[in-house]
Amino acid sequence: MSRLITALQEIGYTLLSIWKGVGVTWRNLFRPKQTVSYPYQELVVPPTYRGALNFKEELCIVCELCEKACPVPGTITPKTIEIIFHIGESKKRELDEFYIDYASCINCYLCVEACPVDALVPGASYEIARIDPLAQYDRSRMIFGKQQLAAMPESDRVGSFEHAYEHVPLRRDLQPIPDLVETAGEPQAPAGG
Amino acid sequence: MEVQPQPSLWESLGNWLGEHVPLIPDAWAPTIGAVLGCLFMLLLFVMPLVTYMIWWLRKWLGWLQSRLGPKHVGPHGLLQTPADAVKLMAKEDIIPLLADRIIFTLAPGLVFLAAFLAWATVPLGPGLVVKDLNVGLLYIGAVTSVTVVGIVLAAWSSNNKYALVSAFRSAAQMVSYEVPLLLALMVPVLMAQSLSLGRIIEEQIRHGWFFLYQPLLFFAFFTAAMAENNVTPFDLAEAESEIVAGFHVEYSGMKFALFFLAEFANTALVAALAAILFFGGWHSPLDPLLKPETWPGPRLGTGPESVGLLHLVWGAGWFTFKMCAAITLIFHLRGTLPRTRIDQLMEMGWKVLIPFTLINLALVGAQIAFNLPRVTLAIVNWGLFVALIALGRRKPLPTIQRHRVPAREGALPQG
Repeated sequence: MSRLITALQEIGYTLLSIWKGVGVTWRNLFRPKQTVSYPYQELVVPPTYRGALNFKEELCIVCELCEKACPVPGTITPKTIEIIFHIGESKKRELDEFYIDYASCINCYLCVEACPVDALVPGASYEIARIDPLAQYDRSRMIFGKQQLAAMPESDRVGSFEHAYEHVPLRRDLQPIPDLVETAGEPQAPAGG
Repeated sequence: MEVQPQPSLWESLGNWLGEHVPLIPDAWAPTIGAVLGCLFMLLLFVMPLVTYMIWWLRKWLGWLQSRLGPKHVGPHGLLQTPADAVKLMAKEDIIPLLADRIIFTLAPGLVFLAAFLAWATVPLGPGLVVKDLNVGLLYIGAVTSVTVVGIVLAAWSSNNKYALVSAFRSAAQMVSYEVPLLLALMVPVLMAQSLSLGRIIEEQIRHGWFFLYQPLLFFAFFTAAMAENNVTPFDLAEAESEIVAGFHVEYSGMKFALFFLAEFANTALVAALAAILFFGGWHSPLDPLLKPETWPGPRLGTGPESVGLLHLVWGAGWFTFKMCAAITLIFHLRGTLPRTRIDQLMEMGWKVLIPFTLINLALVGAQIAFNLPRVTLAIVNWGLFVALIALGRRKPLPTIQRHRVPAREGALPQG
């Protein structure tokens, strides 16, 4: 008899448990959805988000500290950051080209810490492929020079922690650089060194 | 008890065609009506229903999991399933080298056929039934059992170990749950004194929905029917973490689509049976107030049994609403409950559902044999329900003692 009662108790407990579980999922139906409709909406990322770097050419003093701080070998260069410069008429270094290889960059920001003039600053952009749409077909096109880095969106969409993960409509003003698209097929690589 | 057969829309349509189209012989008229009815059920009811069930399942499960579900193809993702169907039709049809080609090709058709045949006797509204068989429930039970034959054939012919394991599980599940399912189906039959679904609905219109008399039996029926049709949480036959995709692991393209359609058609049939047997089918709780049988408009048939076309549409709407509610309940349970283990499944079938449905059937039989008022059934069933819930409020002591195996000395690094 006691075994029968235990069995009935178990059946009742099962029914109640199922009812409880159904209630939990039912409440979940009305919660705000976590999905971001990505191509139509975009996240405001939190302030600690590590996105692609912003490079300010006018501040750069070509000290090469970022290149020395860089811990990652690039795909075809010794370091992920590659700087090409010449000595100008006033005996100052003048920047010819500044490459970041986004095929190998790990966003560790050691270069940002090394930069004495804040020419390299953290960014919030995660849409690197939008800079050069052909980068998805040719890995060497993920090596971005000055021109592409200037087209990188500024880190103005870094939210506070309160507003992080807000859904905002996507800005569509970021256009690929036209002359890069026209010269498709020519892999654009630094000359080494 | 001599009863007038309910007028059927399709019979009337066939007769009308026989009268007005000169080429049709009179003897063919009912057949043509039935064929038209079957085509309507297949192409305009079950197929769209299944298509949008799949969309609704994905939406509902998405909402449960704080996602949005399909939303890109068409407004609110409404064209997602047609797009998927087109994709499946365009896919390569692969037959494994060592498969039994004939059976491999025929099995999806068998499963599909078994899933759709049962709909021929499901009344969607008053008079909106292809053929209200006087052995309707027996027919449905017989036809739906064929599904498992198709599953076993598909699994055996595809020459795959996972498919075979799945077929064994499916067969075991079907054997275990066919018994409580049919025992549960016997109770509405006993209460209505008829196997015809139309008669069962009419009995409920006269005496109240059977859910009010038999709530626990409804849950037993629902569980058994879900298990019978391999619906999650009883989808052991398709447990992807254990046996890949189960019996249809080797199928691709349109053959896989047939299995998929059949699965959803079976789910819809469970929902339709729940609505018909326990919630009055096309009868709405507003009917005593609105009296739709007196509504004006064209009528089917003559005499007291005739049905107004407006009533037919109203009833069909209510039936669809109830069926969709039951489908949503199945989907909700699917999103809530984890998959059962095979031993739990067998335990529930043999130790809980079969004894309960047997005792319940005996009680209903006694009520009819001794001519007791039907309220006694409701009192007993609701009393048992309340008692179960009251008992279950305290967590039962575990019946199986689980022992922790002590670790050997030095077997594990001491923390």
